[in-house]
Amino acid sequence: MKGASITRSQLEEIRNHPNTEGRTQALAVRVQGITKRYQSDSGAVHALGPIDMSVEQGRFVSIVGPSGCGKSTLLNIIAGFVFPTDGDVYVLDALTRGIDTNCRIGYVPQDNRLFPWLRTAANIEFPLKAQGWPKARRRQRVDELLALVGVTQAANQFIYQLSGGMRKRVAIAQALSYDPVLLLMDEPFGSLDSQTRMLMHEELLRIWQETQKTVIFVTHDMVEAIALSDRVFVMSRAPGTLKAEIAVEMTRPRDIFYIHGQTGFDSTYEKLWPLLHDELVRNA
Amino acid sequence: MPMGMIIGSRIALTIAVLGLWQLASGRWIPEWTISSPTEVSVRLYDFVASGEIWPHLSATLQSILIGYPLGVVVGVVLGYVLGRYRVLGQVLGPFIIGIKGVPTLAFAPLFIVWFGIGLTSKVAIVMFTTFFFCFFNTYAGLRHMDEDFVSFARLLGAKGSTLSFGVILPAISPDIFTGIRSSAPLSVIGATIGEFVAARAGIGVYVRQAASVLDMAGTFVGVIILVLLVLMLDIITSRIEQVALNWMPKRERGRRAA
Repeated sequence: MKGASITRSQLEEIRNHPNTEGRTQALAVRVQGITKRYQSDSGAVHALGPIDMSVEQGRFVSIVGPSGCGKSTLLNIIAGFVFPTDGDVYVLDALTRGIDTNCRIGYVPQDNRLFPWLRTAANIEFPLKAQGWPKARRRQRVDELLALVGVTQAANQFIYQLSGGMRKRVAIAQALSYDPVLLLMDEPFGSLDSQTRMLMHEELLRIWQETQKTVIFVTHDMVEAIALSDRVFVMSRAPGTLKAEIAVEMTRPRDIFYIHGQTGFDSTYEKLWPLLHDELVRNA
Repeated sequence: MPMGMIIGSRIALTIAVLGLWQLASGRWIPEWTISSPTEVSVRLYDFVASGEIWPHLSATLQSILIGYPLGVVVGVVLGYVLGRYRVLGQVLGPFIIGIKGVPTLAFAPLFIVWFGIGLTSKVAIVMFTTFFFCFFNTYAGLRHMDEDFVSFARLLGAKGSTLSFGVILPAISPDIFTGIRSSAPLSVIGATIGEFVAARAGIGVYVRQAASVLDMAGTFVGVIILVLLVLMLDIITSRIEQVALNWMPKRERGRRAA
């Protein structure tokens, strides 16, 4: 496929120039005129859009917005779990309809969606088995992933035996197992305590640097969005539209534990906060 | 309560009931209507020692051990198909509920006419009684199953049999086991009904014959054997369940076992 992958040097360039927009290169995702309306008991509800957005390959972007603005819905539309009322989603320049069964998308849900009847390793192996990987390759890949996310010692445990942080690690490993182009994350760390959360941030950034994935990360937490992303999309309150797109003015690698002290954090925060604040106030 | 105390309480309860029975027999209630534990024990011993029990027991066991698993399989398969293909479920639902409402006793003569007196008709009756719980539990399990499991599995590349056997069946396996376990006693009921209506051998035949000549001790012997059969089936199915659902937290499994 045209521009399906980019070289390491191109990637480095993108990451080193987070402010350059409108460059000509393969887009990991393009969302065009997405809207969502649905019928509720009290009549028609306009939940989302219209939204246009695009994300270049190898980028880490976040979507922030007040609760109920439809940011998770947008992510679910990209994954294909939810059908948009209008508009199109393109993954690697190809139009997608419904659930992407071509294994180009990895998805880390807000809640725990690991299969409770499978042990840790089998959960990570599930997509590989479903996609018909030969056994030896599966084994090797699962071992790699267990090590990548640091859950090797829990390989034979059932999901209920894992802590919240461990479950997230396993979910990330499962989503990465088949090497998707795009990693969608829907408030993945919302349920974790703040220390575990920061550890997971650090892990996620390390994994992202190693795997060169495109990540779309949905959160309501501005600090989390700034700490992780190249760019932050700000959504308005419902019906959610894209209000602004802010480039994060921090270099990488970043120190998650001292993120507030890093050059560029404050300036980004000051740009972002008024935008989000307006929406929160309008909401209240 | 620790397991030892639970078992102790069960034994104590059994002894209390037997004691009361022995006390009442011939004193407060005429012995010919309720017999007595001592007489029943003697008869039970004779029944086993003389070997008279074996043809009856094996006839009943055969119809249960063939009919019950078949009923489970048919119930789960049909419940699955009707649960997954909504239209079928909507069309056939009322018929199945309607048939469930009819007592097995009313259907039993039909099966005997169709399949003759013997194993086949009894197997059919056992299948009929055990089918429904497995069917309804499987069906209900699919109804309230989290569809997110399925859509998520599809995103991970699962389709066809991986989706059915690797995702949907395990997801509803607790419901299926509820069906399997709650239909175990029904298999004994089904076999006994078949034997009451028409059969040459079986614990049900023995009970019917004893009751028809007001042989209460004989009747109780048959009933006790039926009770033991039910308990044995419950222990077996519960063991299988505990192994099959080993992925559930221990406490949740423990609740199911009680």
